[in-house]
Amino acid sequence: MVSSILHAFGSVLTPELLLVMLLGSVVGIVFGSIPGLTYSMGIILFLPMTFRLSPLAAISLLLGVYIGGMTGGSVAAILLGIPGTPSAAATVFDGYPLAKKGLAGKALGTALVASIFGGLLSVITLMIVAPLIANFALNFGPAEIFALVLFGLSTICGVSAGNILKGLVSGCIGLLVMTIGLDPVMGMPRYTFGFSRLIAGVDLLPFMIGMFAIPQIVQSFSTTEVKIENITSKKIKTVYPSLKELRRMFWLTFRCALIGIGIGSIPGTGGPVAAFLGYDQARRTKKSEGPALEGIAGPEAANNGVTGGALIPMFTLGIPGDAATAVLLGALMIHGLKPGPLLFSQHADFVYGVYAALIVIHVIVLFVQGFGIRFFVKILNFRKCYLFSTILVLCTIGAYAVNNNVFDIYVMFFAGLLAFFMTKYDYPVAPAVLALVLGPVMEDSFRRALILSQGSFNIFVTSPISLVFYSLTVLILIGQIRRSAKNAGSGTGK
Amino acid sequence: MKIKNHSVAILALIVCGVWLLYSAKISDSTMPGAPGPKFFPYIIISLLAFLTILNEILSWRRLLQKKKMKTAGSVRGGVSEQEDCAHSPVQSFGEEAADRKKTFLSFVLIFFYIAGIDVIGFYPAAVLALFLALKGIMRINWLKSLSGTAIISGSVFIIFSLVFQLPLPRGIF
Repeated sequence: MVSSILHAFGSVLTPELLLVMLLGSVVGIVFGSIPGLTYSMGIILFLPMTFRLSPLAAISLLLGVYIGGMTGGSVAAILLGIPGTPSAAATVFDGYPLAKKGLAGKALGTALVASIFGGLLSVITLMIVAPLIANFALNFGPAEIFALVLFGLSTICGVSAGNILKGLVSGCIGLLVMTIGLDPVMGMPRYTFGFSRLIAGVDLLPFMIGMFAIPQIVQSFSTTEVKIENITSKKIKTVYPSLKELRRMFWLTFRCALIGIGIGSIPGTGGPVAAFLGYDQARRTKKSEGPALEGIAGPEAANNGVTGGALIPMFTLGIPGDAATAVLLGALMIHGLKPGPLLFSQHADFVYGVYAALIVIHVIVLFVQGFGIRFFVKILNFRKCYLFSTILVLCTIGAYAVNNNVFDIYVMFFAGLLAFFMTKYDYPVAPAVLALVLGPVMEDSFRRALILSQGSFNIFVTSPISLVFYSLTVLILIGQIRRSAKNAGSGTGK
Repeated sequence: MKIKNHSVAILALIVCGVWLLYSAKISDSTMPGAPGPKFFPYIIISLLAFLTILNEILSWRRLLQKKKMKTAGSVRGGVSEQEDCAHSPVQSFGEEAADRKKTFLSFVLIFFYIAGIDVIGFYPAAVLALFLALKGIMRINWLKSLSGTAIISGSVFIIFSLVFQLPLPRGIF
């Protein structure tokens, strides 16, 4: 494996790939830094630009946005006291007070180093664990795949923002949208409502662009921009922690990165959970009550640990853990690659290329965010009206470029309208997207399993692998329902 | 409780009805042993209808409990409902109405922008939509709106038409 990865570095370290990784990282940090813009949105907006690139270059660019976004979230958290991404929420607790004390540079440097450490450790874990899982998953038949997808769909509870019932409704809406078009087994047209363009089904990309971007655009157009009191007018420079400080925080960062990897590999949990657990570890470690560098290193290592962790189920089983990996999964499919165990045997070069790209991206992010911090600080002051106007134009190009068809832009619009009303009435959008990605696989495997068993439903419960996945699904459901009930009891649930 | 707070539930039930109606039009032909193309949609429709109704029942129950607690609270502590509402951090009616109007206008603008792409082409439609969004909706002054429109559409033209050579809709003219 080591020689294959070293060989992959040769194919990644080309001017073309370095350029796309640099572009992806910069875009990711920008999208991560600005509150209101998410790296999921960044990945969707830049996906159409990858159509003319090779699959490896395309995924490298999108992974750059993903990792850059996760790392960049700390910039706004430290300088504005507003997390750039939900995963950076825990960084605000110690980061912002430290910045107000005049230690913004040191806080930014610590966040960056911890993020890169957590991210790199998660990539190493991905490299070790992913082939083992993929090898095991080669034994899966349609019944096991059905059970696996059902387990993947149970993540809907995790991304339901505290209201499981509304999350499930949102998931069902996604599943219904997925039924539009030809049915996967017999090829019969369904629910086309008289539109011949709908025979091919609802394209994933325009729908996702609409769901993620349009509500944000409309919200930014319709609300008055408020000037936030910040400390970004001062000259900021990244100050890396000293060797002594690094030694002091090493075990905490290591532990938090492992927490992030573990959390990330469980579908539906994601960065915010990992970051808060990381902060909790840091709180126990730091010696004083006040803000400390540990309070930044812990959550940042944990949320970046999530990146590699979340890629494990996505690459090996085709199960996205959150909205960002659902988009990445869609991107892989658009480029003709089907994530799952066969990816490792049929496209081994691609997989090793991704490993190498992930390592290079982390190094690029370290340098870009470290040296370019003044540029990113200036971006925080950029007026949102211009930003979201640009995003509107980019969205229409993105939706159109999939099939060179204006119909897809209308799909984007109606998806946006649906997402707007869902968000307005506290229905989370992410479950609909997850269902849209996983739904076709679920229906296909379900019906294929029944064809294999000649109509006997026993096929779904005879395999021990399926039973394990059903048990995990039930456990996750019970756990989430209990958590939701507990939150509702304490008055924090919606 | 206002009817608008149930709009998603009402919409979900309407969608279930429409899907059910269109399910009748799907052919039943399938392979031996496998359920037909209607089977999966039927499961999802039933699940969606069940979850929506359950969610509605639970929200009504929560509302009733809240009302009961409020009544008990006002009897014990003498806090009237009006007083309670006065302290809630809601937007003022004027602001809320303005935002609602802007939201409606934003959707209308985006819809006509998309329709315009088909008729007058991508770039003219984008220039018009950008200017109207900046000047009309976000109330930015003329000079900034014009320069913002020019810079954004110019940058998009350079990146997508000159660098990526992406064919964009040219309209009917």
